Amino acid sequence: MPHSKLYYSHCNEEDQQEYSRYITMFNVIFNNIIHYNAEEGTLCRLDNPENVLKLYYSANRCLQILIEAYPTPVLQRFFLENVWEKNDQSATANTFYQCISTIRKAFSSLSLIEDVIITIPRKGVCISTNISIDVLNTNVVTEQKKLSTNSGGYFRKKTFITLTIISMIPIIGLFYVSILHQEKQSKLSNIYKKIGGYQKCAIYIDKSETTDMENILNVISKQNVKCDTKANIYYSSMKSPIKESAIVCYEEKQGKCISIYRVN
Amino acid sequence: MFKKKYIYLIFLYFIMVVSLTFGEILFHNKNQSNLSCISILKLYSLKSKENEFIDGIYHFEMADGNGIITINVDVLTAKGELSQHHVSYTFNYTQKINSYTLNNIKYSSKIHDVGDYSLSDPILMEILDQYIINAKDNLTFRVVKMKDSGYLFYTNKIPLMMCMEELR
Repeated sequence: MPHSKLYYSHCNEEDQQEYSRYITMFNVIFNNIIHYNAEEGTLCRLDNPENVLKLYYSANRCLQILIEAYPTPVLQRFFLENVWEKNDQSATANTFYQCISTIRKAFSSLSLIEDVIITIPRKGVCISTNISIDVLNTNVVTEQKKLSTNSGGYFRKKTFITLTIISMIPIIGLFYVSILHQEKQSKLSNIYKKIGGYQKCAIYIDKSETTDMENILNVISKQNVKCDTKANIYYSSMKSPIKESAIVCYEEKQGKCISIYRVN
Repeated sequence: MFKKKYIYLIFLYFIMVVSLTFGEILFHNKNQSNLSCISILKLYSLKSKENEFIDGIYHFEMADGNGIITINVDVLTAKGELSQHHVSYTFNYTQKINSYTLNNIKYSSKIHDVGDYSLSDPILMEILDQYIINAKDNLTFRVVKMKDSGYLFYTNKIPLMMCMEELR
């Protein structure tokens, strides 16, 4: 336990804040049987996680300080300053001993027979060295705790998230496939742009084309395409070797088209 | 915990594969498997004094992976020889997005007038040979289904023909 120096009255405020942050982070196992969660201020037996004892704020802070100082004794003055006076509360020696007594009773009610907290005259109080203390990684303990004491809610939440994700996958998949399918079907107007008309024919050219109307009219006139009825003419070409395609679709013939292909 | 994670992951992948496959079947094949369309073709070359042409009708029937093409064309060569060709092919086809690949093409009937139908223009001759008279075992069209009309059949990057879906 590395922070013994913090327990003397000469420690500065910054050290105390650092200590405070640290202390709220850890979880402790006493004698391999009692789990203490410093953040929540709870104590429970590992073999009976349902029975949880909650320490009130002052008792919890005192126990945190004792664990942090272990096995060094801590002066009563340090407790009074860091547990009560820091929070603008007044406390007497009696208040402090009541707090220590509460902690002892809590351990006792969890069937830890040995005296956890001992008093060393003129030096203060400390956790007995007969008690083993294991400080565990927060995440591991939190997970264990949640699994053991609150497993129902934890799993319900996790299962809910998992099921939500799983049910979302087919929806996203179907949506993705339908989008792909939509993209596969393009409109003629996406490929061709209208450049003008000839009699009743509307003339469209490939959007990348730069050809003029005269050339297109030349193509269609040589194939005797009649523009006396409504029709759409779609023209595209390739430069080398020169190939031209003109597709003439008559509206009144239910979309029947004539495909003209010319090579040069 | 780890075991459960793996089970969830495997289940997740399974769901993904099933849903994507299901989506493909639902959206992909439903609208593109059946095709019955007709296209009137007029192909000619400017090189050969404007009198060399292929003129005719191309008819597709495609459904459930199998199909038939019926082609009736007149061919006029630069030498002035006119021949008529009536060709039918059966085939099965595979479909990938908008590309139809025609496999195992077999003549179901082939009749053409006696005479020389060699065209002087190599591109026109290639189209006549490859897409009309002597279709090879594997024939690929890039076919784009249009939302507002029929199908555009591409060869050599530009549309060879427009094929309108027939009303049934």
